[in-house]
Amino acid sequence: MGGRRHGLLLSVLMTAAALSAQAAPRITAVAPEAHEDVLVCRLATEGLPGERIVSTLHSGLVSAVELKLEILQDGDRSVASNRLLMRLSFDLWEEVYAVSVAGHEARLPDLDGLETYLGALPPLPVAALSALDAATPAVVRAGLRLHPIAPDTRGRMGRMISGGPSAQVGRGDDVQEVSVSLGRLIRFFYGGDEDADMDVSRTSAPFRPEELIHAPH
Amino acid sequence: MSHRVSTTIIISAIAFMAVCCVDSHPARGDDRQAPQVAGTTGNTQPTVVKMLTLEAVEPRGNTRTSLSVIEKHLGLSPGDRIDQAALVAAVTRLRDSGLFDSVEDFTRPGHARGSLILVLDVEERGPDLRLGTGNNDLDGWYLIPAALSLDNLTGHGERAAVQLMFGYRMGGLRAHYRRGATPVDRTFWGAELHAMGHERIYFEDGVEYGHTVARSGLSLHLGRRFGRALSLSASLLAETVDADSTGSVWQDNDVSGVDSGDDVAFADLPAGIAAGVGKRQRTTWRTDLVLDTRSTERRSGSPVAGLWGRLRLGYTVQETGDFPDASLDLRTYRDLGAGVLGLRGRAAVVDEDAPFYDRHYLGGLYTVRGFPSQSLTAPAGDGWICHGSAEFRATLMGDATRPRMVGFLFLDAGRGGEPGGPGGDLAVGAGWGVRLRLGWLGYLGADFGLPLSDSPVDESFHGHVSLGWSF
Repeated sequence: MGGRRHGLLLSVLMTAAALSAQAAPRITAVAPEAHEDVLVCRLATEGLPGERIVSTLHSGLVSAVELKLEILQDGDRSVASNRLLMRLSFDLWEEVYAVSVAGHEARLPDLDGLETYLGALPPLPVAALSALDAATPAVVRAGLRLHPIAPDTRGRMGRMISGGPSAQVGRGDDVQEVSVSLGRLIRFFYGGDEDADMDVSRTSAPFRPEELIHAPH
Repeated sequence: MSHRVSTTIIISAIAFMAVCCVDSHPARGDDRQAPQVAGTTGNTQPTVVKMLTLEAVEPRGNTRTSLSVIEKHLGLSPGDRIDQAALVAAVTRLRDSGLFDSVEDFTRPGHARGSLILVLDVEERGPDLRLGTGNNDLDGWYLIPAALSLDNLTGHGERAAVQLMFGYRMGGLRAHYRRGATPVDRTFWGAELHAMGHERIYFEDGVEYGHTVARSGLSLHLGRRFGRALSLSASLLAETVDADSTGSVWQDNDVSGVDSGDDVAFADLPAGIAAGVGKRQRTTWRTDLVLDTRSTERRSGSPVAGLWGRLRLGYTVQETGDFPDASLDLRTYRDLGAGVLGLRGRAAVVDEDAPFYDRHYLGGLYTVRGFPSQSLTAPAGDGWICHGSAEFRATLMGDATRPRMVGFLFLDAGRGGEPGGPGGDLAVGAGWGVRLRLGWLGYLGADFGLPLSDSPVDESFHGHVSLGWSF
């Protein structure tokens, strides 16, 4: 009886831990490399794709993970950045998962395979190496945001601070108004969080561009 | 003068903030972005997988907003056949509705094969201090330096706000409450309280004068949509209007030897202006029939097809003489491949008993560009005007569907007169302009027009600055 009780408790704790892990994706490592004349970045993550994305994929829709890769030099000065949209889908007939990002395509036979793939992402392009000052230490800051339902990302940045437009309604089109939330605007400028639009972010160790190892072809 | 300086400073500050917002988030295609290692960076457009059936919408976190209000703003209801693009568009509509501070979405499989349940984690919006801009044909553009937004305070999806607003020629306070904002709402209604001061501009002998008119009142409106394109509404406005007994010089004029701010005594006012001074209490009934078939697809800042038209009929009851008025405004758009052609035509007529601030004036950004605002009409205004504009708009910077900068060529023409009397000369202006999109601020514009007919002022061209787009 005691063994069954311990087993049940263990099961509950494991489930809770699993859900907790699902709810909080993390970037565990950011490793910049050189690939010919391009700075690329390998990301290691935990907690992807997460419960909501899996649920959405099983509904027959496409999910996405938005990645923001940014090179900082001279303190926090952004010298180059790239945004990528990693698309995830699930074939309901063949029951396989597919991931595509930055020209890489992968088909994965099961959820474990998907989690493993997302745990160690392929090299992702950040910027041309020529964009960096070779003599100045740099870091790569990587952020990610989950989109259980893959979006049309155009215009999302505007909405982030506008908090929705306030168009006049029912008065004809001779009146047009737009407005922005003052609180959001203040947070945007003084919040100090450059990755406010990302769910999680992590910064690499400092490196000098000429010291980068070259990724294998 | 100080009013203009402070306006300029505030516009500059807002434009600066908007530019910062834009610059803080390089768009796709920004030259600072990395080249591709292989293939594409990843398509931002969702792929259409298949048609699915929406089994249910399951909101979470909503304490006062009902499911039916959420479904109305989504534009979806259980049983609808949808694909991914339709679902994304629906959730975007909900986010843009302003009902919520945040909307997180995901789906889970429904009970039947091919069905799904849309789960929405929402955070309802509370009272919110906002700032913004706007424009309308009467007052031009204006700023909203402070607005207390009370949207969705009762959970019925209503729009409510108290706004402080001022522009180049107006300022005041306005409060509104509106219901029925979603496209699927058949009935819409609302109320508005306002206390505003307007500077009505007129020209005489090449000198630009201003005359302050204060208006305060309450209006109620009720309307009904018939299908997606047609709506009919009626409004009742109870208002007190008070036109100053004196005017002032609006712009320096060396030829006439007057300076901005110089008073114009009642005895020196033009007869048409003098006849309208004083306080009037009145009630105005107005009926609007609106047809809107404009495409949601946009290019170069414009719909690529369709028509917007409004027929407005009004009748004002006041002690000094009742008067009717009517106007017809039509705007249409055509995709010409390299850009979009926008056409606008407007005709308006008002009875001779109407005071000068209800009569019509030609000239300026919203009628005939290339001339100063209201400069083409005698001080007392015209009983009727008709004017038309043609604009060819093309993208200069950015993606054509969401351009950073749009350039355009325009040709405007207009004419006015008294009912039954001879019309004035045809006024024609042509030129070019640009519109720069500044984040949430929308479009900041500059138009440069050449007068192609006689001008009351000695100018070879006239520049206009605007927030937003006149049509």
